[in-house]
Amino acid sequence: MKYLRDSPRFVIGSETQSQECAEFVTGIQRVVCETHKGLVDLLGLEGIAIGWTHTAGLPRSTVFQSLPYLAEDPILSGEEVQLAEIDALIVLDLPNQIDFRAIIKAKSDKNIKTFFLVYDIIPLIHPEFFTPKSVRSFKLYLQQLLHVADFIIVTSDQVRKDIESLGWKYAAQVRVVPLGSVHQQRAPGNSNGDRISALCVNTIEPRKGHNRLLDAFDFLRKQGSDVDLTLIGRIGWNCDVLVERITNHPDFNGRLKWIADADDNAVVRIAANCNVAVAPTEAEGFGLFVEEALTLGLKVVVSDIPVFRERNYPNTYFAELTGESLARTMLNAARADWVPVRSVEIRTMRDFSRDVADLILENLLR
Amino acid sequence: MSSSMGHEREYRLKSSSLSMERLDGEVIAIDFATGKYFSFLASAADLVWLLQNEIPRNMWHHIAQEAFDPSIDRVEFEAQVSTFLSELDALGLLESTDWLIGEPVQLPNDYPRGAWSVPVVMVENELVDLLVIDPIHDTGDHGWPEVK
Repeated sequence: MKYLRDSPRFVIGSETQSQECAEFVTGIQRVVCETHKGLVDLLGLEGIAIGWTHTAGLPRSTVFQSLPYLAEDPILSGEEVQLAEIDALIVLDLPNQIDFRAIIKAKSDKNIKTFFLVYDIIPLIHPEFFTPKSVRSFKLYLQQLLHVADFIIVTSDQVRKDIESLGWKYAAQVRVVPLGSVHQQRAPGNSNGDRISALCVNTIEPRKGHNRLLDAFDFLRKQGSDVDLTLIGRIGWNCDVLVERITNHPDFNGRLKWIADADDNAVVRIAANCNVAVAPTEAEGFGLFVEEALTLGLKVVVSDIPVFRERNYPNTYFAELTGESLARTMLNAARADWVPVRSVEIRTMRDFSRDVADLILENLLR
Repeated sequence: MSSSMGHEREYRLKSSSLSMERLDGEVIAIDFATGKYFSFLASAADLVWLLQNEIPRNMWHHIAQEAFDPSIDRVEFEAQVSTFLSELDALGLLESTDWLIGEPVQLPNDYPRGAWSVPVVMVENELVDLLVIDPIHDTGDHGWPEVK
């Protein structure tokens, strides 16, 4: 064992198997990477070392090194720690190879504390959006997680309620820690007015509400509005009809654009030419694009669902779950003045990391 | 509190290394000692629920009649239950007991019940073999699933 520093007060292991195998960066990879950066800084000051660990003992993957963003992850690129050596285990991803039996053994041998981040349980609440196999996988994952977790970090009160609604047994404390933006707050790059230049960043999948967004786009076009819409997101699942609707749309590659593979820099560049961000999703654990869009200076139109009502940000507009309501709300948002926000007003990933670090620290010291 | 007054052998679930949760008429039991998991659907899930709640076996037929069909034949029902319990016992999921504490209750109303069906134990693969596809990581340029 080689530690990052001599004689740490505590050693934490972060399960990184899935993150190592990432071939592209999506929301979860960014959350993990930003949290790693924050935890290394904040817990390092407290004399706590953090390394990567594989509960399933699988070989190390270096696929992530081809992605400059992930290659800068201080834990992913750092040193390994064995389960037997750690005082706490953090699982920030939804790993597809995790050995819960090994974790149980480590807990019984050394009483390690376990912290799991649960982004949502939508496969169980809305199984219609997923394949039976992925629902089964997720059910097994969550059931095991609830059996071994000491602390479950959820990103919204909605997810806490969803877990509670299952009626399953768990001894873990559930803590709500909302995510935040990775961007610095900036002023809008596009003025208000009747022109709607809308941006939607989401995986293309049914629950994300793209069909309703296209309904809204068509409604605005029929009304004669000056509107363009850029979709950014990879193809998800159960979405063949949706993909056909996008690519066969008469405005496709004109007023309607779809970019499947855009990195953070591209999103920032595109957002600078937009004035409205849209999050039309029907079911969401958090919806990180809201914070990101607000810090990029966009006004944000979201579905009127409880998880979005938990936020209380300026420049946010709620639309009912119909295409027409979404269209009218997009127009209202475009016309509205952008309300200046203080740099600390929109939550950041640094805020998230600090809250997670505090949770870990207070329970290691207890 | 109730104790069994019948002649049947009584069982309860071994709980030390077992996680057992129910959702939409299915119970999944995960045995952390062996790494195996078991799926119980419909009538099987309901029998597991009766075991979990330590309901004496002499009440099971009446509970099933109320939930499924009043005409369930008692002899046939008891034979199916005995076979089912023997399978669970052979899998190491049960321990015998002389004393059960459950009160008579209604079965959970979490799936549409039709006719009574023979309860079946489904023994599934090792957990690690199943958790190889997930909806988060296996999406690529060609959609989901993209098994790596």
